Amino acid sequence: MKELLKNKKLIYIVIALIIIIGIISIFVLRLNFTLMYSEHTRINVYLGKNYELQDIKQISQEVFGDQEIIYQEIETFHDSLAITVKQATEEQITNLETKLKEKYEIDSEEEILQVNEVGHLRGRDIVRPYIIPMIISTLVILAYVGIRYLNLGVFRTTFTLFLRLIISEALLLSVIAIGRIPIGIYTMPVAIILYLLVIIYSIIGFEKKLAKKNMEESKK
Amino acid sequence: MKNNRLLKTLIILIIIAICLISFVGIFVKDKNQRINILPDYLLSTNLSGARVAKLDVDTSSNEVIYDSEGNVSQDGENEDGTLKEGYTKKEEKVNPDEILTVENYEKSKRIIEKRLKEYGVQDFNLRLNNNNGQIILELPENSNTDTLLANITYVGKFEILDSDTKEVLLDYSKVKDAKAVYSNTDFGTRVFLSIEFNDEGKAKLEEITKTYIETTDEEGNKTTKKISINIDDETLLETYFSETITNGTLQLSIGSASTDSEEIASYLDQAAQVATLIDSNIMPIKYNLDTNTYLSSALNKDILQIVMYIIIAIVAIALVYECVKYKLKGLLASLSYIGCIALLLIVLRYTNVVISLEAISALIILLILNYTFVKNILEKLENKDLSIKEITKQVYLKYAWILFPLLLVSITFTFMSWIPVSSIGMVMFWGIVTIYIYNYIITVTLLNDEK
Repeated sequence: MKELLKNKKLIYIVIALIIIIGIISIFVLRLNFTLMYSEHTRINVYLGKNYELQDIKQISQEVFGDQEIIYQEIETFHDSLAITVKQATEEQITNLETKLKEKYEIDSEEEILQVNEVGHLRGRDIVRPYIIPMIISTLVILAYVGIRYLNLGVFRTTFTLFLRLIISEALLLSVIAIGRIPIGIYTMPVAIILYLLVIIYSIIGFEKKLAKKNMEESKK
Repeated sequence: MKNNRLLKTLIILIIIAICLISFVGIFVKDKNQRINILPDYLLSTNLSGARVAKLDVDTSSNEVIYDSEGNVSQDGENEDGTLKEGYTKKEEKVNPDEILTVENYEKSKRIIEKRLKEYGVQDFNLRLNNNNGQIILELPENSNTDTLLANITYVGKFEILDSDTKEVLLDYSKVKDAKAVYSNTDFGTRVFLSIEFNDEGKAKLEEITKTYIETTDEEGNKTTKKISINIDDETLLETYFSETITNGTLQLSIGSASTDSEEIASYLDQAAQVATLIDSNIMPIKYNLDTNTYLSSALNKDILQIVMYIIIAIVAIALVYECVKYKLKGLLASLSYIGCIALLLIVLRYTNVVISLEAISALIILLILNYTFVKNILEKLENKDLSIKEITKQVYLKYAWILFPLLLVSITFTFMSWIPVSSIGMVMFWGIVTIYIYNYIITVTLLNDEK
């Protein structure tokens, strides 16, 4: 029992340390974002004819080297696409245009590229639509937990669940910050899975405690 | 015994049919080709693609004519194009340099965001480039996207002018509220744009409605003094008043009275869009819609496929484990499990649930829940002292307490307007309902060995 408590204390200390380091990391190093969520250059390529993505990938990799590149189809006619990179120099853009015109036998006078500098998507803009739904659903769940597990103590159960929800999401954010894991399209789904799993885990725990307490009371 | 076997065989065939329908489809012949009559999955922008519009700060200039008193004049030119005496012409930037600040860029972005929400756009991204004020807008592709983009760049300068002299009689600063309303008439439903003015505007409106009327002189000649209602110097309509308005609310008819619900919806939409423009703050900066293209999802399809295969592999391993541990019962339970997932996917198609990445995360939770649900039934079946009825009651009661709070969360999320959030709610709601009902009817019957 003492060892279990000691282990629990150690776990809490480790969690607290991770969260503190995570918060410091956010302020000092800021968060890392994926290519699509950070500032990037989008090059719209209008070929006017069907293309093979493999060929475009090959040419792009020759031009942009090791940079991460994202390819998106423009419209549904399969004759134009968008190439997204972190940065593209004038030389690289010219090189890309030359190679594409050569590959697809396009007149040298024709303009086939349109370069756009795209701003970053702010972290708060990503999270904002989820804040009110999460707050409302958390309040609803806390109200349910308080009523259902009255015998276990309203404050104890609601506070435990609330703390678990806050700490789990803070831990996730800290791990993302410390590990410099880029925030992207998968981040909010993972945060939601975590939120739901914490609720399920807590409810299962409360149910077991309630069943145990009811059994003890019925024995008395 | 024989009846039980027959029932189980029938159930297995039903499960196989559900799986085939869900994973393959129902194909019928239509005009010499085979089409799948099962509705397609509705995918959100992060899975399918989005309309991407680039809004650039308007850097053009306009020629503005001033009269001798320094007032802007609309008729300062002679017929031959030369300026009238005392009039001057200046070239003025649409967006003067002093207003091109980060603060104004941010304000414009907030106004656009507010307008999008009021237009009912439920899934969008807005990016601002603080260096040049450029805004990239990512919207779902649907029948309203083009209209929306046509209206989004309006500054929102609402004015009521004298049609002849172009004198500004009332403007946006006196507007308290604007909304789309409708009323039933003998000829159908009529849609109105209702503009409510503040106290100052109310007094001015009363004055205008007394002045801008149709009059008949002694000889019977009619003259009308008209007003123009403009947004961003574009005339919405010209009209005069047949009665004095004393309540401070101007109601403008949009379209004609109709009994056709689609037509009425279209008029309401138009009225609502104009109301949003008038009601939201005036944008400090004028933007132009530069480019407007549909871009497919940036999701790496290869990574998504790998993730799907990993999920399928984990499910397969878990089911194989059940088959090995519980033998025939495990095999039947595994088959039932796959049938439940197949049925849920059919339900999601028919209930038009939008599938987003967030909804897929809810589906993963449901996969885990369904697995533990079925596993619980299998574990309790090992206890020969309990009847199937008692086992069902125990497991259902246990899971009721776990699933009920999740149902509360899903209902809360369903009522949110933001699509990725509401899609989680809908997937979870249908998932919980399907798990509960399907397992009661199919799984329990399949695993029932009682005579």
